[in-house]
Amino acid sequence: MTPAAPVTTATTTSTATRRQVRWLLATGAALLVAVALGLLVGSRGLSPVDLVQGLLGSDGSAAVSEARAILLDLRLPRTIVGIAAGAALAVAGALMQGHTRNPLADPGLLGVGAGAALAVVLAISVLGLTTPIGYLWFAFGGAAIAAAIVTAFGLLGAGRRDSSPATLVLAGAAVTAFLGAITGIVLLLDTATLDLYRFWNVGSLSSGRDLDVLLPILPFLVIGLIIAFGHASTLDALALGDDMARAMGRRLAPARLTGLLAVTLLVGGAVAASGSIGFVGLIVPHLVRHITGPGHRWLLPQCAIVGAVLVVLADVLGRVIVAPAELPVGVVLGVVGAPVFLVLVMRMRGSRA
Amino acid sequence: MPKSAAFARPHRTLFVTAAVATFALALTGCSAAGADDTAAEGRTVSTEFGDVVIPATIDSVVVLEGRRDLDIALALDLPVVGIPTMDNAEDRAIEPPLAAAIAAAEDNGAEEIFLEDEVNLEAIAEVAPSLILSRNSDIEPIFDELSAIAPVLSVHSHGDMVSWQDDLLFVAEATGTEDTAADIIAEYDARVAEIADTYAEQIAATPVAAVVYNDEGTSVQSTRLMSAALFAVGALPSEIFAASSELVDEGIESSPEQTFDIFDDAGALIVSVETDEAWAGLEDDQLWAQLPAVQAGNVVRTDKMTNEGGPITAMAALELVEQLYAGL
Repeated sequence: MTPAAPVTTATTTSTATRRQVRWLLATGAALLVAVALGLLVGSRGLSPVDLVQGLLGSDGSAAVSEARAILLDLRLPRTIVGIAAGAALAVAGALMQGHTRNPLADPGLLGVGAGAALAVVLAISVLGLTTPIGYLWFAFGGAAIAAAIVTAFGLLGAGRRDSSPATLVLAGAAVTAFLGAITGIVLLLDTATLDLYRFWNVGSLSSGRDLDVLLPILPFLVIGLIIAFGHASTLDALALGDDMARAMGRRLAPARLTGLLAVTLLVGGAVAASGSIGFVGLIVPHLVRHITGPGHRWLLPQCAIVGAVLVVLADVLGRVIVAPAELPVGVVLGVVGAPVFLVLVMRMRGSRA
Repeated sequence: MPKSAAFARPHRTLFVTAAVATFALALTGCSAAGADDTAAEGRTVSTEFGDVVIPATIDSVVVLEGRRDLDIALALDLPVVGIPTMDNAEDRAIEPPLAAAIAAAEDNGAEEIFLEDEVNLEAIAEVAPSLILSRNSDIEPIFDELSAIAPVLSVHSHGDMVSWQDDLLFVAEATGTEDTAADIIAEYDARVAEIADTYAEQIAATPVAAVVYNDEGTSVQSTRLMSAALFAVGALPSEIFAASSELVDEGIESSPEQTFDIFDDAGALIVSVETDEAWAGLEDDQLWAQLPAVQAGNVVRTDKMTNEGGPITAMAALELVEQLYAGL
């Protein structure tokens, strides 16, 4: 009977892996469907023939030229930016929830969004920048500086008080409030900046947020994803508690810094490319845990895929529900995300009871 | 006006109102007494907020919004002493129509006394104006507090379906400047007639539209001052521009994907773009570049400062209309 146990364990592991792979294929297929919808659906109805001809090249006719411009200059770039931003935000959310052991943690808790917002507002107000590509490095730099400040305070507080990740969350909340207040002051004094900032802040994939904006920060997103995926086993150890993680040979401070670096790269890049898109980092990890379970080895890649699907589909929805105008993807996700967030809270409350 | 500002204004205004309520109420006694003193020699005007007694002599005027209200006050040569903080003219890509008039008013003592969209009752009380003038939606939530400081007159915004001419005549009647107002309207009408006559052929033959462009797409609204100037000269509206005149209170907003489809019948366009970078972005927009009006070079640029205003801005809008048709 003794050999039976390893065989059973191996069989169980193999079954679980096959199940995870099947889910990965399913969400991958969902992403392909979302991309197809992202290219085919919009506020301007185009015939499939014109779309295909537009994709192959313009024949000089107005209809095909229009279709080509809509497909290649509008829908394709925003779909790619949506994939990148959705994947980055969802993985960053999973990292934050793993590091803080707080299921309601969000990348915004690190102050990244507030830092990016303040930097963008100052870039508009002081330097006169007016386009997303102009804000790009300010958004990214502001996000990085804010994350560094929060991390420094979080680690300092943890050293003096305890090693609970709650210190990091509190530091993030304080820094976010402070940066938000400064941003508010600048906007109160400069309404012209407010006019421009609101377009950035709303979280949008429409014109101005195209591949010219994405390409410069793409390396940071890729590095962030690589760090995150390589960080999965550490997150699994941290999920058992700091003491257990130490007992398993993990060094907490370097682990946290690595995780926060990945979050900064991912959220800073996403915010720079698409503005402030909320709820993805909060909701997607919860949704994905129902599929993968709590292990981060499968959770993180699935978050990347599902986050991309969610943002692209939300963008498609935003293009059609108020046609011929559009709703920015950040607004659509807020409208959808808030009820989902409430459901999550109620379910957590129910599970505690 | 940005939507966010529109949504935020009532909340901010309520906050300001609450913060200075005690101060304003304390002022009520002495200021109301002042109004009573002038009542005998002033004129009573019926407004949408009730009868208001305007002093016979107006020494100082505060405006709250800085668009149609300020435009009318400056056009009527009222002694403006307090205005909101405005965007610096030198910071804008296009000089605002009111820039010169505001500079002249500032030379005569007008000062920026509170932030745009952030009415400060204490600052207004400090100036002790003889008249407060602003848009009705700004006045409504704080009418009592404002009335405690000085008589209040309201004008409208373009979405209210009240023309600047009507508001001009209303303010003129209240301030005893009817002759000036009549001259202004006559001058505007003469300019309209001149353009309509000079470019009658182009006007009749060329569908046009006045468009606002930003990162989120385009919008067309027939009540904007720029649109009204086009309609005034008898412009032949493009299909979307004509459709917008049936949706006067909201206009038509369209996504970037719609740009070619909705403006491809226009032979000439007046487009409102805020910054040089946004203008460069528009010129790079492949859908925009395919438009017949763009390919023919029949595009005149303006910005949001011609969306709303009074007679000074309206005359500036007519200049743009003439520029459009002169280029055809």
